[in-house]
Amino acid sequence: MRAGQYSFHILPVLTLALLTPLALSQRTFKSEKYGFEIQIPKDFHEVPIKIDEKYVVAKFLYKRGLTAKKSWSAVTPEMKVIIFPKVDLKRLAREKAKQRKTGTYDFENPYRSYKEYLRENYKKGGWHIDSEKDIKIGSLSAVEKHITVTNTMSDGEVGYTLWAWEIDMGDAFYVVQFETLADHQRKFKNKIGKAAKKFRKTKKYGGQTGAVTTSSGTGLSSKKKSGKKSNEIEWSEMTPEERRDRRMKDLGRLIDESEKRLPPGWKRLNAKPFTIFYNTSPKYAKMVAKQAKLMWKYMNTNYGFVGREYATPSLIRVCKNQDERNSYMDTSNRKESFNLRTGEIVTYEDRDWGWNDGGSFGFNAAICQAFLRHKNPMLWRGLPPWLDDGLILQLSYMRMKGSKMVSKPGEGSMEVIRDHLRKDDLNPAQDIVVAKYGEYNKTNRADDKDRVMTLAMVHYLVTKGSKKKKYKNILPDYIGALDKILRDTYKDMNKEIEKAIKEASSKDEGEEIDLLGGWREKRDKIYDKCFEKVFSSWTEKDWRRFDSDWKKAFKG
Amino acid sequence: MTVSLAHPLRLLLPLLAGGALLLGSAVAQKKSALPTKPKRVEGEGALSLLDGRFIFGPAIDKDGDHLIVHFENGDVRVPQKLVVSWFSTTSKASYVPKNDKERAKLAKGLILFNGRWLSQKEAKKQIKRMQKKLAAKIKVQQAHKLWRNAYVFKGKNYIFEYNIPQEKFEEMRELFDLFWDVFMRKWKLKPDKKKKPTIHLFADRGDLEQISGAGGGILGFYNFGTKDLYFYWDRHDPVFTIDVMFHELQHLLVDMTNGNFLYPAWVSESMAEYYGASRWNPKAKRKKDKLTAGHLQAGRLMVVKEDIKKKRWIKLKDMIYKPRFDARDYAWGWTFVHYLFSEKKYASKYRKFYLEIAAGRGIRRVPAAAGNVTIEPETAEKLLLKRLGVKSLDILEKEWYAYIKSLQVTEVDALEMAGRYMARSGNRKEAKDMLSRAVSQGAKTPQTYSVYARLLSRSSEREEAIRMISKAMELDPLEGSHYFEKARLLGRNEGSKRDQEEILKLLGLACELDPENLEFAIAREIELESAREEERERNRRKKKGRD
Repeated sequence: MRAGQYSFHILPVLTLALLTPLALSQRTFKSEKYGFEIQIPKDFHEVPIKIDEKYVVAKFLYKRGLTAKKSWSAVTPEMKVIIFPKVDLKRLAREKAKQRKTGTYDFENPYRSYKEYLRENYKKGGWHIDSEKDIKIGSLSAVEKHITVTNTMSDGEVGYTLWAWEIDMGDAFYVVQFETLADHQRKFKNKIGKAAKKFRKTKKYGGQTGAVTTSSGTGLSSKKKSGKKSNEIEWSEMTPEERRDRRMKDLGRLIDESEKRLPPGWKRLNAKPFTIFYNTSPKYAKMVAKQAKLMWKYMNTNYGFVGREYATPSLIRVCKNQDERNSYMDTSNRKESFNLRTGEIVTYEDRDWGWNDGGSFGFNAAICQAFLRHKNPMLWRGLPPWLDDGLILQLSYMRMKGSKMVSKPGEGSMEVIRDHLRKDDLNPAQDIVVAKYGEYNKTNRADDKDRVMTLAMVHYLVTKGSKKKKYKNILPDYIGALDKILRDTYKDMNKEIEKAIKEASSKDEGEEIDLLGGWREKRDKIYDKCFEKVFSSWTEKDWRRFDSDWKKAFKG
Repeated sequence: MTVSLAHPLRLLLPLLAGGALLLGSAVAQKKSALPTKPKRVEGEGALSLLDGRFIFGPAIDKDGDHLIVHFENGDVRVPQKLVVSWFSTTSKASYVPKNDKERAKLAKGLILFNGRWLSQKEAKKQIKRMQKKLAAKIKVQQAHKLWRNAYVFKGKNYIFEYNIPQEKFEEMRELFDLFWDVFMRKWKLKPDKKKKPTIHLFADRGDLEQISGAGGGILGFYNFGTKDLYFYWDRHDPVFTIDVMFHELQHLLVDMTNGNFLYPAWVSESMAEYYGASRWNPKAKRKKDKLTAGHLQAGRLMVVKEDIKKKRWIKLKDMIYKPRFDARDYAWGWTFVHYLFSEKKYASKYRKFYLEIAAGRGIRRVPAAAGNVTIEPETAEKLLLKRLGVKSLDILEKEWYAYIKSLQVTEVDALEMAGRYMARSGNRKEAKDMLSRAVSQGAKTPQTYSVYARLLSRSSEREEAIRMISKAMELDPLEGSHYFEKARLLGRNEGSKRDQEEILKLLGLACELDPENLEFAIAREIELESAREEERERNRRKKKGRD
C-alpha cells in the first residue's frame, strides 16, 4: 500500500479576494493583503508560497547553499514571514459551536504563538531560545529572539541558528524568522537584523488576518459533513465525464490562483495537456515539458485500460534548484490536520546530478501517480507489493529517447541485481509474486533485494518479455484482474461508507469503526484471486523458466 | 416545523400550541445554567504540591486532613498528604482549640499560625512575607524552566542539566547514584570512559520533544556518541517515568564500561527492559535492597500475551537475526532475559555470555557504526548455546515459551501498569480488562481511574465512567483534565439528564487549573455559548407566551 495517499480529486480552491503581493522595488516585499512591507536582504530572492499554506505569507532564499564546517551537505539560509492572529477565545469558540451545529468540523485549532508553531513544525533538531529582548521596530513593539538548534540525536553539535522578531501588529503577531547553519550566523547577523528592522506596517486591503488560519479563509482544512451525503458519496454518483470536467475546472482555478502568486522571475509555459510554471532556463523547462507529455502519452497508451476514469493532468512547477523546491514544499501544518494536497507536481533543476540521474525519477513517479490516482484510485491504492514497487520503480526509471520513453533501471539497482545474480541468492519469482505486505522484504538487509528484483522482473516483462507469448500479457492480465476484483468487492462500498458514517455518528466514542471493513484480510484474499486468475496454468517448470529467462536478460 | 392549514395535523394545532406553551413554560421554569457571579471567598492563598506543582491565588481553608481550595468555579477538597506547604489569608478560623489555654488565646483574637500564637495583624504580615517568598520561589522556578536557565549540577557520576523543580531533582538524584552503585557492583564493572555522561531531565514531554528534538513517541533516549541521556518527568505517571529512566540508564552504564562494543539489539534492549522494571524502595536499610531488578514488566508481558492469543509467536532465531528491533521485540526480548535470570541453571551463565561478547577474547567481532564493533548473529547464536549448555535454539525456545505461559499479571500495581500500557498502545479491550481488575483490587493511582474512565465510553457504561473519573478527581483533585473529562462525560447525557450547570462548573475548574489549555477554554466557551443560546430561546418563548 502506498504511503502518503492523495485525495482523488484536486481540491476546489475557494474564491479569495487575493491581491498579489506587489514588489514595490526589487528589494522590498510588500503585501497589501496582510498589510506589511519588508526589505529583502541582499542576495535573497522570493520563493512562491504553496496554496494550502496557512501561516507563512512570504519566503526568501539566499542565492546559494552553504556547508557546515563538519559536513559536506549544503543548506540554504532562508527568511520567512509568519502570521499568528491573536486568538480571540470567545470568537473561536463561537465558530466551533457554529461548526458543530452545521455538522462541519474544522479539526485544526490555530497556533496561539510562535513557540507553539515551532514546536509542531520545526524538526531539524532540538531547539531552545538562547536570548530574547524587547525592542521597537519603528513604532511597533517586538521581541527579538535568538534560537539555537542542536543535533542532540546525532553528534550533539549546534546545527542551526534562528533569529526571530515577533512583531505585535495589534490583531496578530507577525514573525520575521531567519534560519541558517550555526557556522554561518555571523555572516548574516547584521544583514538580516537590518532587514527585519525595516519591517513596516502598511495599509491592508482584502481579507483580515484571521483569514490566514481559519478554514473558511483557505477552504483547505478537512471538513466532514454529517447528516447530508458525504463528499465521497456525491462524487461517486457523478459520471466519469462529470468528474473529469470538475477536475479540469478545479485545475483551472488552481492554475489561476497559483499564477497570481508567482514571484518575479517565474514564467508560464503551456505544454498541453500540462501547464508549467518555471524558474529555470526556458530550455530546461521545455525539456521537462517534453518528458511530461511523453510520459503521459506512455501511460495512456499502455495503461489506459486500468480504469474508466479520465486522467487529469497536474500543474507542474519547476524550481530553480532543490533548495527552492524544498522551501516551496515545506508547509506548516498542525500534526492532527489532514493535509489535502493540490496534486501539483514539483521538480527542480538538478545541476549536480543532471536531469536523468536526479529529477527524472521523482518526476516520472509523480506523473504516474497523477495518472493512476485519477484513472483508478482504488487500483492505485490496492497494488500488491511486487507491483507497488516493481511497476512504480520501472515507470520512474524510464528515460526519454528521442520522441519516446524507454525502460531503463537505474545503475545502482542494476548493480544490486547483478551482485545477487552472481551470488545466486535471489528469492524465486513465484514467492515474490505471492508475497503479502508484511512478509515481503522481511529479512532483507540494506540492499532491499526483493524490491530491486521486482523492478528487474517488471522491466523484463515490458521489454524482452513482452515479445514472448507466455509473458506478454502478464501485466495487463494481472492489473485487469485486480481492477475487476476490486470493483466487484467494493461496488457496495459507497453504501458501506454511508452506513459506517451513520454508525459513527450514533456510536459512542471509543467504538472502533472499520470504514474499510477489514481491508487487510480482504486485500490479501484479492491478491490470491489475482494470482489464481493469471498464473493458475503455470507449473513449477514455468516458474523456473521465468526465473531463468528474466535473469538471463540481466546477465547478458 | 411549519404546518399548513391544509395539513392533516391542523386538527392538532390547538393541542400543539398548548403543548408548546407547556413546553415553553417548562423551559421558562428551567434554571439558567449560565454561571452567576460567584460568591468569592475573600483572601488569597498558595500551595505547593509534592509533585512539584504550585497553585497560586485562590483562598484556602483547612478541614480535618483536607484543604479546601476556593476556586472561582467551586471549592476543591485536597488531601493534605499531597501538599508540601500552603498558606492563605482567609479570615475563616478553622482551628479547634485543644484546651482552655488555647480557648483563651482564641478569645483574645489570637491566631495559631505556624506553631505560634499571633495577633491577626501579625499573622497577616507573616502571610504576606510568605506569599512574597513563595512568589519569588515560583518566579525562580519559572525562570529555570526556560532551558537557557536550566540548572546544572556536576555530581559524582553524572552531570545533570534539568528544568524540573529543585525538590523533585533532589529526590531523583539519589536514584541515579543508587542505580550506578548497585549496577556496577552487581556486574563488577568499572567505567572506562573519561567523559562524564550528561543527563538532561525535562519538566514535561513538550520540553523533551522541543529541546532534544526527539519525536515519534520517544519517551527518552541515550546518545551513544555524545554520552547524553534525555528523558522527562511525567507527573501523571511517575512509575513509568522511572521505568524509562532505568532503561536508558542501563544503556548509559553499559556504554560507560564496555569499550567500543555495541551490543546487538536483542541483547541490549532486552537487558535494558529487564532493568527498566527495577523497583526503588527508599525505606530499605541496605543499599542493595533499595534497588531491586527483575520485576514484572506488566505492560510488555501483556503485549506478548496478546501476540500469543493471535498465534504470533516470535521465534528465538528470528529475534537473534533481526536487523532492527521494534516494539513487539522489546516485549519478547524482555521475557527472554527475564526467563534466563529467573532460571537457576542459566542466570550466571547468561551473565557470563553478556560480559564475554563485549570483552571476551577469541570472539570474532565486526565493525559497527561510529567506529564501534559488534558481533554477528551467527557468532552470538553459537556462543549463547555454548555458554548456556544447550544443544539447540529450539530447546531453549521451548523452555522460554513455557515460562512465558506461566507468567501472570496479578498484583494490583502490575495490573495498573499493564492496563495503562495497553491503553497507550490502542488495545482497548485488554486495557479495560486489566484496569477493571486493578480497580476492583483497590488501585490507588489516579491515572488508572482516568484512563479507565476514558475507555468506558459506551452509553451503557457512562455511569461507571463518571464514577471512575470522580475517583480520579478524589485522588488528584488538582488535575484539570479530570474535570474536563467528567464534563465531557456528563455532556453526553441528553435532555433533562444533562446538567449544564454542573458541566459549566467542571469546565470552569478545568480552565482555572490549566489556564494554558486551549481545548478546555474552547469547550467552556462552546458550552457557555450553548447556555446563552438556551437563555435567549427561553426569553423568546417567554415573550411569545406573554404576547
